[in-house]
Amino acid sequence: MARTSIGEFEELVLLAVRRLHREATGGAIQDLLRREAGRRASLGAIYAVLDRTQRKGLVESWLGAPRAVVGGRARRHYALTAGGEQALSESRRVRDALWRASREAAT
Amino acid sequence: MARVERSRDVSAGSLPWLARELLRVLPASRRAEAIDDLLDLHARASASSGEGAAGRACVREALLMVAWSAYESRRRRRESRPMHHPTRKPAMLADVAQDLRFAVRALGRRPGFALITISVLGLGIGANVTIFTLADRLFRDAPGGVANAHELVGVFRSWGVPDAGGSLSYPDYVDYRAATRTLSGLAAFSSGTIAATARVGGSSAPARLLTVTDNYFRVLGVDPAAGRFFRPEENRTPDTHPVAVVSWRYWMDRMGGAEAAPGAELVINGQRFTVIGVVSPEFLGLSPASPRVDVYIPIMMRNAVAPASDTAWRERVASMRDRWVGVIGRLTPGATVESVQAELGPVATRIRETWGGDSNESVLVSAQFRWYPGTRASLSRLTRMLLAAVGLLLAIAIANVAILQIARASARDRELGIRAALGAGRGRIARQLLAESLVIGGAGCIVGVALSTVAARVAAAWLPVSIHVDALPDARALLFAFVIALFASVLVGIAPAARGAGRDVLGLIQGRDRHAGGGRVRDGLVVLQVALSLVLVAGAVMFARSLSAARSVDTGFDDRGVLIVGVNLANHGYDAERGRVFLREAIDRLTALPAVSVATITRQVPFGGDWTTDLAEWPGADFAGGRDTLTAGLNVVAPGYFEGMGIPVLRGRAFDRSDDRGTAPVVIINETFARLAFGDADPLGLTVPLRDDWPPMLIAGVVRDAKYYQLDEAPWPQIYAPIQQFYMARVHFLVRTEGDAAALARPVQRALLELDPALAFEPVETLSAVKAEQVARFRTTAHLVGLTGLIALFLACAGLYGVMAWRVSRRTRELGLRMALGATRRGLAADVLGNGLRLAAAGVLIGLAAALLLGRLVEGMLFGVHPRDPVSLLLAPILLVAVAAASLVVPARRAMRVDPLIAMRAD
Repeated sequence: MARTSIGEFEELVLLAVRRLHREATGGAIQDLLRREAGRRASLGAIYAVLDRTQRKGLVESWLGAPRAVVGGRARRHYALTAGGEQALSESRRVRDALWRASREAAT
Repeated sequence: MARVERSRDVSAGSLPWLARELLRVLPASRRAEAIDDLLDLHARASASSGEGAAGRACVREALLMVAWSAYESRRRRRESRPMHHPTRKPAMLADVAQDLRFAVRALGRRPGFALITISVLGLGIGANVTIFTLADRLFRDAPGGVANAHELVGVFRSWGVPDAGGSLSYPDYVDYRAATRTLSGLAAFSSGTIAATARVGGSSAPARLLTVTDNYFRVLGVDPAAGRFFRPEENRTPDTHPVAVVSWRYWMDRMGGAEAAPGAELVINGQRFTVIGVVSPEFLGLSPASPRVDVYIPIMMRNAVAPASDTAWRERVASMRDRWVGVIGRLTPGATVESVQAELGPVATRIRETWGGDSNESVLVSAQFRWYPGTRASLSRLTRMLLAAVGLLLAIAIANVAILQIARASARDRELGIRAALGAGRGRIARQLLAESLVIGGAGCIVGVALSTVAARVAAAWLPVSIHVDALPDARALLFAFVIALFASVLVGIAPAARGAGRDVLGLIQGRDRHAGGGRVRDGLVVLQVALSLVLVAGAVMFARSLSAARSVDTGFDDRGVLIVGVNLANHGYDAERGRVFLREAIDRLTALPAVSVATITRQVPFGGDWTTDLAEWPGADFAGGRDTLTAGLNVVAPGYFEGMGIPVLRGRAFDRSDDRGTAPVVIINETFARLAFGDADPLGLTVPLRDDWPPMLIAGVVRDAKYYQLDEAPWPQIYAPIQQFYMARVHFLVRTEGDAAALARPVQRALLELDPALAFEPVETLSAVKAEQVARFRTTAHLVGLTGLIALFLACAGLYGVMAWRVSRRTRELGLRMALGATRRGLAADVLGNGLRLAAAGVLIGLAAALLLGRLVEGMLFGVHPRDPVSLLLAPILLVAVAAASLVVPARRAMRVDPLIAMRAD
């Protein structure tokens, strides 16, 4: 299988999904990105990335259990697939390699 | 499942309206999730920064969701497309398709609006396709089965009047045929058909005959379906070649079709003919109004099927004065109508110099061979006028729909604003609005074409000539419908599209832009509508007045209580001798019938023919203006005719029984004949030379003028001759009663059948029905233009109402404010009424000017009404303004009922 490269925002969303560990929803991702990364992302943009990465097989989604409130409904949750994990580490490997290379050049 | 959906919608209720609306646009798979996330967001944000800010945040998020979703789905489509076709075009096509789909959905959400606009446009398009179809049938369609119809020309007699042309005499035709080099062939045919009885095998049935020259089919380029057509020698000498060609239909229906080979025997009015050929099934006659012909025989055989006919046949064929043949020629390669005219003109001069005739008499060559020039001119005037009328109607319909579109577009400001906010470019929004117009136009086109299939047949029945219109529109009509629908769509779409593009986006969303734009365009369209409909209403009033004038015209005779029964004694083996006896006995029997006050005979029924005769100058005559011939109508009648018709005898006497074969030949003339032939001299006792080889006939009386051929004819010279001296085989019995004429039909026929049980009658009719048929000619235009005018009036007032109602609803706040500041309700209503009437008045003024300019379009079509008839031009504006005022009542009342408090609170 060809290696899948991901963009910067995609990487952030995937990291958030990874961090939320099977509890990721659109709103939770938005919240996390704002708190941890200081990024104000719109839900629309996050949905777009989730759609795209799902199609690429990096993310999977399912309907969770209904919430225990009146009118509570099942919500859609997201989690990384093995492919998603691999894409993230690949992205990190490339970054690290480039960082190392740039540090050597600077000294 | 449905319950779950509802519960979501309910819980989404705390979201702002706009956000909820936006979420509807998202794909269903995403919607639930988005609602949940927004609800969370809303809950958090309202806790931290208040309800209002939370709402705004939700709207913003929803907007971006829609934008991203649209972006993603486009991107996905692009990615899924094969990379080696990266052309721009499919993307544009896809956009157009999407625009159209969206337009259909948008219209589907407002079925009322769609219904109204589509019907209005459909009406406009349908009216145009109808008239277009009729014009096509009348003038453009090549006759079926004829080769290269564009090479055919008609050759007519002309007499110096534009658009006038008539039949030629047979010797004229022979001379032209011998002289022409620019025509590859010149054929002639009798200008009327003969109703005959034909026997095939053992059974007899009526058949319609046309007598033609030998080359008739060759010149037309019609092919035989079987056998052959006439040879030159078969039309050279009278009564020698009993051969016939039958129509395809006659062959199939009466002669058993394929099995009966040419060579079969056909007995026409007792004379044996051999069938030599069958005409190709496509050929149904030259003109769309041609009667169906069953059997064609050589002109030279005419006498054989109608022996002892009105005039001695040999005399008629040889006569220069009897004009009875239609002539048609085929151009040689390179020849034109002009070159034929240049060639035949000198021949006509030579004929005139040899035989005498009016100095302005000549020949007219015309590419319009389907119609006599006069008929063609009046039909083309009629279709031109009708095309103009329905064109105006279409313009009104377009203006009407454009007004509705603009009003709707401004009601959709918010939607358009959102689309603009989502990144739809100005062009894109304009295109979207245009797409909606295209959908309306397309649907209108379908409605219009469907409408026209019915309307064309109804309108065709109203035409002065009877033509056949197919049930389905042809390709040209469809193309025409498509083109005008496209044209209408673009016109309808331009105004709202231009308005939708380039506006303040945020203002649109927040509804700040409510009073700007569109107002002037809309007012202009209303004025235009009123102006155009004034033209149509004025036309409708004119034609209505013309119709009523035609109904009440003085025909010079009394049409009440008169029954007419036609017979042709020649078809029943009567010679002149027996015929005279029969007619005399018949009159006696009919007079004896109860309830009959007068029974008489006439050769001609008013408006029923055009049998004229030319009289050369004779001693004692005093023709004014250097004329040396007088073309007069000739009727042959029995004693009692003038009494029966109610035509007063002014001087001298009417015919009586003493005017018989043994006594001196006499005629009676009408006032106009007396004036034209004798000036102020007393015509009584003078003579008229009716035929060259007859003694001059003594004028015994002068009667009042009447209408003879057309309702709107100018007074026309007429001669009457007594039937016992001037025998005619084809005559009409004319019976007057004090009671119901139609009720006499049976007794009269029974009385005649007692004399001759074998007698067959031509259609039996009342004189008032004959007159009504004439009036019908003016009913055509009165009905068609009246209907158009009515629709126009309705549309214009609907447009005016729409604009004023819309304006009142838009000005609610202003009206409320004015009321709060002390304006009276009456004042506000007067304001609305005044506004509307000002628009109507502007339209009326422009329309009056246009109606005056367009007056010449209806010239010659009106009866007793001037094209700039002041009564119509006064009545139409009054009518229009009255209806306009009525349509303003509702908006004005609405303005009166504005509640200042509610009005100020709106928004």
